[in-house]
Amino acid sequence: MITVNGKIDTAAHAGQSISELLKRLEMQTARVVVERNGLIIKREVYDSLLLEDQDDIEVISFVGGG
Amino acid sequence: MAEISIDGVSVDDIYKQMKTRNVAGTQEKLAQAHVTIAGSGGLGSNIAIALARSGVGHLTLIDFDVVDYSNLNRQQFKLSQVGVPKVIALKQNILEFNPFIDITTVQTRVTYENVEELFETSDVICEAFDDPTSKAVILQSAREFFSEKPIVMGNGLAGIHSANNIVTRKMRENVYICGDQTTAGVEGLMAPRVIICAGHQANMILQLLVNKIEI
Repeated sequence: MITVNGKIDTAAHAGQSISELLKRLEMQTARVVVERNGLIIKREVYDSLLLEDQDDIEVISFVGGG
Repeated sequence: MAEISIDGVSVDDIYKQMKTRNVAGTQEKLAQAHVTIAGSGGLGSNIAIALARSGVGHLTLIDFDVVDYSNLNRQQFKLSQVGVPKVIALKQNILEFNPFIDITTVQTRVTYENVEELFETSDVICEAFDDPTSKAVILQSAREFFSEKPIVMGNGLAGIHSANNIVTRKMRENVYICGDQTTAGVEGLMAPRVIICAGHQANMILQLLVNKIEI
């Protein structure tokens, strides 16, 4: 069971990479900050870091304008 | 030394009178405070002006850009300042209503590589970019270098939607994000919602600086 932005994401499962998760959520990598269990993940590891069961993922997504 | 006066009013007296309508008990703390604002556009120019009027003593303004005609619909600049670096124009505009402030200007782009140096001495980091990629970069790097330093961000302030959708949220310890989180600049940016979001950010920064956080 993996939680994404406060909700259980049934399509997310252990072994998927952060990049795969973002792609499925249709989020642009450059415009987001991803936290895993409260810690920010470095972008360099989005491809290599794999989700684990019980992970709590938070994706903070930014829109343009200022 | 002879007392300095402007039109017969002493500088000391002008300083005191300028503060009379600010909230009592805040001025000493705010005069000592240092806020670094990343971006001097729609959000940044309005935030800087609000903080300067509130009595924040030290501001650092960062922006790589110069004033353009397309900025004048929402940014606090004048026609006569088109072509002038935004940080210089904004500093000029602030000093016209409050000369009792220390303003440092930095004409550069904020990148992962210079975040540590640019924000080291700031009490609060204020993100006021237009570009969503830069917003993500500053949050990512600020959390890496300064996890204890509060960062106040803007996200979603476009269009002419309800003003009431723009709110201040505490996302994490020391991370505050203001805006509606959804409306993007491509639909157009109008002064009122930009100013509302800037007001949220400036207000959150004041709360952090005087340690009176109610969100």
